[in-house]
Amino acid sequence: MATTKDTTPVHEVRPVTQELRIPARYLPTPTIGPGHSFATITDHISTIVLRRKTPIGWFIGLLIAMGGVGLLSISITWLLVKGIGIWGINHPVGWGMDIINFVWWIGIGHAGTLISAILLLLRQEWRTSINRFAEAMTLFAVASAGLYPALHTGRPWFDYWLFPYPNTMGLWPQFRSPLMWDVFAVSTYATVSALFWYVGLIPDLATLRDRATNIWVKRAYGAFALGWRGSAKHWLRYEHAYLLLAGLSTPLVLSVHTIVSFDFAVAQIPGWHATFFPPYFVAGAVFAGFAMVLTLAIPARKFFRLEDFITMKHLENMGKVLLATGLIVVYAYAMEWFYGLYSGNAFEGYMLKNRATGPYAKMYVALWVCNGLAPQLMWFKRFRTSTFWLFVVAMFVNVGMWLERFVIIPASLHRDFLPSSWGMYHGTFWDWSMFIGSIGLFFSLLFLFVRFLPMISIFEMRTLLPEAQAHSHEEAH
Amino acid sequence: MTTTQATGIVRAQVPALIVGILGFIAAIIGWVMNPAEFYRAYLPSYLFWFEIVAGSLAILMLQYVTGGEWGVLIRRPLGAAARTMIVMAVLFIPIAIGLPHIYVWANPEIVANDHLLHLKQPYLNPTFFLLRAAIYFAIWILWAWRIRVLSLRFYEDRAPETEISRRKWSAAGLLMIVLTLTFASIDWVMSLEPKWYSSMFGISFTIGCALSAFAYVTFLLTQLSKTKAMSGILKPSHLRDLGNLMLAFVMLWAYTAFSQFLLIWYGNLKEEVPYYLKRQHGTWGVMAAALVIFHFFLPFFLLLMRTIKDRPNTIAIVTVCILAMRYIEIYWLVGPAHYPESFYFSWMSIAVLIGIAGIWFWFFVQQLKGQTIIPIHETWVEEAIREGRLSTNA
Repeated sequence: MATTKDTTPVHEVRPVTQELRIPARYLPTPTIGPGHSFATITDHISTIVLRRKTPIGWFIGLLIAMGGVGLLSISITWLLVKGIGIWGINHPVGWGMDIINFVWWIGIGHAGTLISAILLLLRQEWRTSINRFAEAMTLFAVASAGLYPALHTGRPWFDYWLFPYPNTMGLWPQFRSPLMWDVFAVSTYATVSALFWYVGLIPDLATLRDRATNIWVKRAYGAFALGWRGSAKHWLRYEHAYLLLAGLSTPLVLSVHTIVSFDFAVAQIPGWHATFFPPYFVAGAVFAGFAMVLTLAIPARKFFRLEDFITMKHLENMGKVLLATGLIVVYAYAMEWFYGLYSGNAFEGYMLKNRATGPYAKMYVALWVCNGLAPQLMWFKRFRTSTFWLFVVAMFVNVGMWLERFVIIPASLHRDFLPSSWGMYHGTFWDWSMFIGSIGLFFSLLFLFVRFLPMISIFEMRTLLPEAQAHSHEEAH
Repeated sequence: MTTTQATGIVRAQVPALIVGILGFIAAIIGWVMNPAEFYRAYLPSYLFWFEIVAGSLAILMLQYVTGGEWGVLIRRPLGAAARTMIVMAVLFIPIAIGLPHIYVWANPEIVANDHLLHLKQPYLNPTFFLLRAAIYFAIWILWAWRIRVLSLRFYEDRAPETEISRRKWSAAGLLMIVLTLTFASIDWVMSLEPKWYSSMFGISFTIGCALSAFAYVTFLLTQLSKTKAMSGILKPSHLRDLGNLMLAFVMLWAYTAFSQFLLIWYGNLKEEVPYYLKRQHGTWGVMAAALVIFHFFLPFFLLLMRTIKDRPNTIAIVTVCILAMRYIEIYWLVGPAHYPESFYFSWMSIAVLIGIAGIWFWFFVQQLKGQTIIPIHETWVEEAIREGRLSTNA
């Protein structure tokens, strides 16, 4: 090779322009509807907030949700008067619907963090139109979740004892308990999520301030916009802060539900003590969260005519995430059986038998239908691109994830090693009223959010327009 | 041309084969001297190379499903490594022959006197074990071959349909490989301690495979970076992407390994905790500490730094550290099952490690030969997808 002069070019040369034979179905679906400009995006989203006339449907929805809040207030009051004996928990099931609902809500929050932080770092631009919405959902879900452990302590006025602080009683929390780690994980999660959401809102609050006609509305948005003028320096600081918060949020997606899974897995009860609980819980949380985002986004998109912003591509991608995380959850269900049989352990074996044929067998079967079967529809494009089917599957998953926690928590606790200490668990009226009440709280907050704040990030949507991308193309690579 | 020949990797092929054969000759001498020790030494060294091959298949499919730019330069080596699965199937034969020496449950007289092992016999018995291994290899070879065929077809027709078909095979393949690797790890590694079980094991092993493969191809890329074929192609950003992915897998490995340890330590059950007690005293304990430091902390902090990720010479050191630690971890998982009392390391492990290395590398280069080292013909599609002229989720 060295003796003859090498005339071939180092790299294979191919014609620059190649013929693209692309059938129509391979053409990309846009992340934003056609015919939009900077102005139309701003108009469309900010009008939802700033218009004079509030649609009657919003009032009806809020009224129903506020009914739930009323029920919640009554339930909490009665709980404070009587104590947690009004719930169905007793020996041997000390954790019932209070903990099921806590895990259910906190899991739902995870989609918001995943969408806003991880998908941002992975440069997935389809996150843009759903992130604000999903982050708000995270906050409200964490608020609903936080109620349960706080009230479960029985004397919520002493809840501050959960935090380690030097005190004259010489009293410290048990640092070796995962319940203690939960306090840190969940409070960090709530703080960072709130910050992330608020920082992302600032430029849009300034837009609303500038567009508001009523002086009081202007002042209100102005106060929260923190003097944002949109100067280059503001944007630079903003971009830094947002990226840092995304980096901070990323481990939280894993840590919170990992520690929630430790609450169970450190114990020795069959059905709780499984080493794969951490990744299984995290996947389940994301699964539940995306189902809730779909549950909320599909009606909201229709009601506020946001089809151009939350396009079919968004819904389809969420369907795919639902499928992927659903498969991880099914892997866990299946592996539970394999290891139960492989272990040769009588208690593990009985736990599985009890799930499948015991008093809660119906819930276990329903769990498989909701989380195991229903999401398999997402393999097919036909179902992934139908809002009806997406909504149906999401509802199945919402129910399925609640059932999953029911199967894990009371169905494992009610029959442990000694048959003499077996018992049954049923939620009482007050268990259910708390649950329905917390759903009411969640939706009330959500209704207020869509009325008073832009539910889609205005400035981020503008960056999706072709004219915005022409400039940003260079720096992106 | 950006052919493999121009990278000079072919020059290493014959020397590698010679070294490999010498390694195997040494191993055979060891087998004559002490068959039991040979078989026990064979398993960890085999698993080290197996992880790279299986991981390559997994990452190749991940690349075809997600289609990120990070994978363009490593596709050819990944594909070549994945196709050497046939060689790994052949190299599995000594394990099949030496079953009773390696696995307690393969000895009928021990099983007959042990209630729990007797209970587990329907799953842990030599016939079913070998049948399962045959099924795993058949599936892995099928997928490696299928993706190869679709890639070659794509080279000819350059039709998006072919690309989509390859993507679908890869998506199904990811599901397949997680399941098969879970069971392969249970069979080949976890059943060494037949009374112990941990549901995290399969997940941890699968992540280990992916990490091994990432480290191997990244190392290969850094060695090729200065050759004629690659000059001007490999940019710091490519290495940074690979570095970030390795960082992610280092963290995932630590997450699964630590969670498993914490939960077993905390539960402190007599069925589970001896596994770690055995592995934390004496030299085994030193290895455990080394894993914490060199399998997690050191690569973690190094891979956070751009100055290290961007340069071939520095990232190469990190990949070597990761690969060495992969071997340490495998040996730490396997060894104490055979030598629970105190640390033992046979020279035959080294002989087998080198033997498989040489022979495997020869086949690897054989697969890599005769094609461009980077998938030139595919880049225009990548470009089209990136610029939004082509949909990726049809």
